[in-house]
Amino acid sequence: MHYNQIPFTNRSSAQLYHDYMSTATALVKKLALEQRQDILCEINSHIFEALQQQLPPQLIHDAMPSQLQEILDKLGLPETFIKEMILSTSIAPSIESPRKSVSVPIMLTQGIVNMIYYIIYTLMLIAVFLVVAKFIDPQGVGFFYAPNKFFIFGKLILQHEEALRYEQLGNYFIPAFLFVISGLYYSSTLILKLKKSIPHKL
Amino acid sequence: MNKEFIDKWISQLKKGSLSFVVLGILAYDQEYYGYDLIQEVKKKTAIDIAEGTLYPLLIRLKNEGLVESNWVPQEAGIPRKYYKITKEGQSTFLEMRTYWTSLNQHLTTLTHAL
Repeated sequence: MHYNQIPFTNRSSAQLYHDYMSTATALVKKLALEQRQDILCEINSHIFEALQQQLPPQLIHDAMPSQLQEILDKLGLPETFIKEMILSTSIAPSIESPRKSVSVPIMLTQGIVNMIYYIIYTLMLIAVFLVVAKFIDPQGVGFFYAPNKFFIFGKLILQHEEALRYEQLGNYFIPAFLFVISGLYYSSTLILKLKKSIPHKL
Repeated sequence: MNKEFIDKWISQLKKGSLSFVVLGILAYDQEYYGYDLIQEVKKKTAIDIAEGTLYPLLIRLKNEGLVESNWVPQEAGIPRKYYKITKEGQSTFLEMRTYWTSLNQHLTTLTHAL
């Protein structure tokens, strides 16, 4: 059951009601859908019934902020009593338990996505490290390539002094890596978005 | 007199007896919706509770199987959740009442002896 919002003609009352219900909604978001809606409907019903005691039915929507505030004050801070409601609800066996309800295909998908994310993140850290290293040691860091001789990507060690002649990127090394870093960063945000879009349960 | 201590004691006493009060009100086979039940508690016991505190208690009573609830649609469009006592709730209340009466007698004897 979804709670029917109470429409208020007074803007301050509407804002007050909206803020209260938004706080309540945020507090119950970790509960299972049915329990979440049950709590929100209960609070909404309480507010409406309390208004009915103060005003004739045709004037409920014209409630003044002070009237609504009095009701909300009596009801209490959502952070206080809703947390207790959640705690009480959590004791019931019907609480949503993501660990138990996650299916094997979803776990696998999440695992693969996590792995891709960590690989991208590691490559990004390496790229940042290479840019910093290039600043510190402009000659010794680069992309050294000579067919059948060298394929060195990163920092040269002493034994490969000869390789200095075969550096391929030169002054383009840092711009190229900044481009790579931004590409990896963009990919990691895409992966995060994809991760969020994976349902927690079937 | 230690007012702070007294206030804390009264608050604990109210909180501790609230489930007994709620079951006592529902024991007469009448159904109440949340707001109505709160007003009834206030009227019958003069306990001025923060209204929100009753809802967690109702959830706990429901989890224990002492009360049951159902949503009833209303003309105004905002449904009411009605609570009523279960058979187990009735027998639990009777057990609680027996203990309460006994405790009350002992406390009365104790306080009169002072």
